[in-house]
Amino acid sequence: MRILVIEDDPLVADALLGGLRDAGFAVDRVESAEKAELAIRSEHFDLMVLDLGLPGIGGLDWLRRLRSRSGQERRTPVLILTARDGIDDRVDGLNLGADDYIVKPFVLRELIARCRALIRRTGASVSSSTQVGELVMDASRRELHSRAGLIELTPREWSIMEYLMLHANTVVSKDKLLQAISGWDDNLGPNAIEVYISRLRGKLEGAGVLIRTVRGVGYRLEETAA
Amino acid sequence: MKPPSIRTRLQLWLLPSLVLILGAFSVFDFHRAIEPVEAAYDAALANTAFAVSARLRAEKGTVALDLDDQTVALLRTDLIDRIFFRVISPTNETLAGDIGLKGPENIVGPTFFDTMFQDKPVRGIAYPVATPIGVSVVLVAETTVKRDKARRDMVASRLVQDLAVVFFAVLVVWLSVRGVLRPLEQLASQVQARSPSDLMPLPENGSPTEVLPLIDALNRLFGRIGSTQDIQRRFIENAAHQLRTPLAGLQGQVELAVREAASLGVPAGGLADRLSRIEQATSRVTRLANQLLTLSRSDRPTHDTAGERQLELAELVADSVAIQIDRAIDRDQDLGAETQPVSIRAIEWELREVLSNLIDNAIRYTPRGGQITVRCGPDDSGAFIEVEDSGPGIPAQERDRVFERFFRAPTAPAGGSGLGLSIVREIASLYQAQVEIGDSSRGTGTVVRVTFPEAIRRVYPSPVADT
Repeated sequence: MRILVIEDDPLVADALLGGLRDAGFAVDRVESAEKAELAIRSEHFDLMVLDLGLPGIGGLDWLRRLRSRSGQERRTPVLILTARDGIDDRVDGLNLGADDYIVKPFVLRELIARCRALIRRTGASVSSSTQVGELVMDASRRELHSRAGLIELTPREWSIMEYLMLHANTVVSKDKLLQAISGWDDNLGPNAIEVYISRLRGKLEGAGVLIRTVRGVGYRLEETAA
Repeated sequence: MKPPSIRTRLQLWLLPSLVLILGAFSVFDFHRAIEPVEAAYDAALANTAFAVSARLRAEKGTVALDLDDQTVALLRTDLIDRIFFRVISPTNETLAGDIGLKGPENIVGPTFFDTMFQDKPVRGIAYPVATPIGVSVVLVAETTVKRDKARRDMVASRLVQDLAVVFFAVLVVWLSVRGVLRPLEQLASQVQARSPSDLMPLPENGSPTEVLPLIDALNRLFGRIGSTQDIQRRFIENAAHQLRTPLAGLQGQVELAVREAASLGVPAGGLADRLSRIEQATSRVTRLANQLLTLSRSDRPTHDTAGERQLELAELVADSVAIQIDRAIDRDQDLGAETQPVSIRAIEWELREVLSNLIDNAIRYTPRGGQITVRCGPDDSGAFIEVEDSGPGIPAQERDRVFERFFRAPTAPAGGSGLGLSIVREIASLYQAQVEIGDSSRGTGTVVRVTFPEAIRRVYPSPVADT
């Protein structure tokens, strides 16, 4: 997976590069939107990390231009880095086609998790396989594999698991999970989700992931600490 | 001593001078009115003197008076006053009349005089008559009963009239002073009724020209204060923003260093400890910068409601819990939510700050393994947000002080800034919301509850799960 970091501050850029490379990504860095423009013309990237406070053409302006063009690079997911946490900036960025944003200063761990989630979400439509830790989900064959082997899932369990994997490391609400399995049965209540989650937990034992309950909020699929 | 008010000043100037002018005028007026009356009475006296003088005859080197008793009786007849007369020969003999009556000496023409006669004040005329042997004088005088009565009547009628004039004049002055000062008083009460953060210009229309410069000056002052505050706010905001990029760099570098140290097998203690301390310090500085920024931004005027939206509290609570869940997990704490649907009109980031500071405090002050519950829902009077923890609790005597900026409880663990609750209260005050600290129902622990008033409360039916 290849990431383009567009950040002018050397200290931040260096930390980003270090963190993302440690996490197993191939990373290139440019310090301006103009250079990013050149880079995406000649190379393919799976994700761009874009700082909004760039010199010259601002990050938002460049993003707007990028998204208004047609072409392959148009679809590259963009994670915005911003020092401003005003709602306006956030809304502007997301309206202009950014896929996520993170406010400076950030914890590297979180940034890496967000990058993974973005690539997973946007890549899921292209490639059919999704991976969280040792768990690999093959959507085309509707199969879930752990290191120990194939895990058998019922269709509803599959729907919930798919949603959890596409949103790994983020808390998803019961409502969202209900929506994910709606169409199967309209009479399902939140209690049904609890039942499926508890069955999934049983099947995922020893698979290197866990489904954490966030009381009153929802569930989160995470890798168990190695 | 308090300087006299404009009203007192105006009244002090206007009232005495008005009374003085009116008094002088009425004295003058009285004299002008009494003059013709006196002149008429004097003319009657002069007529009598003239009639008597016609009776004087010169004969054989002397003068004689041809006056019989009947004429004298006629002469002395008057309804009210007593009339006296005396005719004096050129040789200073009394030819007729009242011997004691005396007039002025050495007169050249008819001369009026006032004197006492028979212990009564009298008004008289001395009428000189030329005779062949010298000047004879006819004196006619009368008591002043008529004149005094006329004078008294005049004074009485004038006094009533003048007092009425003074009364109405004073009334008019008092009313007009009041009327004139009303715009000023209205302005004063308008300014007084404002909240300290309200720097909107005062309306100019409907104010008299004389008050306009004052309103103008006040509005300019408001403008200046406002722009100074703006500059200050922008400065703090910019400063905090400027801090964020280097902090992001520092944060990332430290994280990498900690990880590299671990992968190089640096043993716990020494370098590894130092690195983790630097990491903690970095996150403290970061938090402080964020809080200062929040404080400066929440310092907005209450009336500035641009950016307010109808917000579902339950969504914000769930989101805030999700954002902080990792910190709670790190500390082995059970962080969760209990929400009921309710929505209020507010600015999103402000409510997020309230929640994030309350949850952050709870995580910070609750020991490992503790429980933290964030609640929201409708309240009798509006809506509430509440964070309950199983920490040590806040002693009653410190509950007021914890809202002060930079106050930290003596027992507080290291790492806090003392700004969290003051941010919560600052933002709450923008919504007239109450912040209360209570005891947890579970024995130990604290409940911090923010209650929003009814005015901004909207309760929606419970959202259906499949929407």
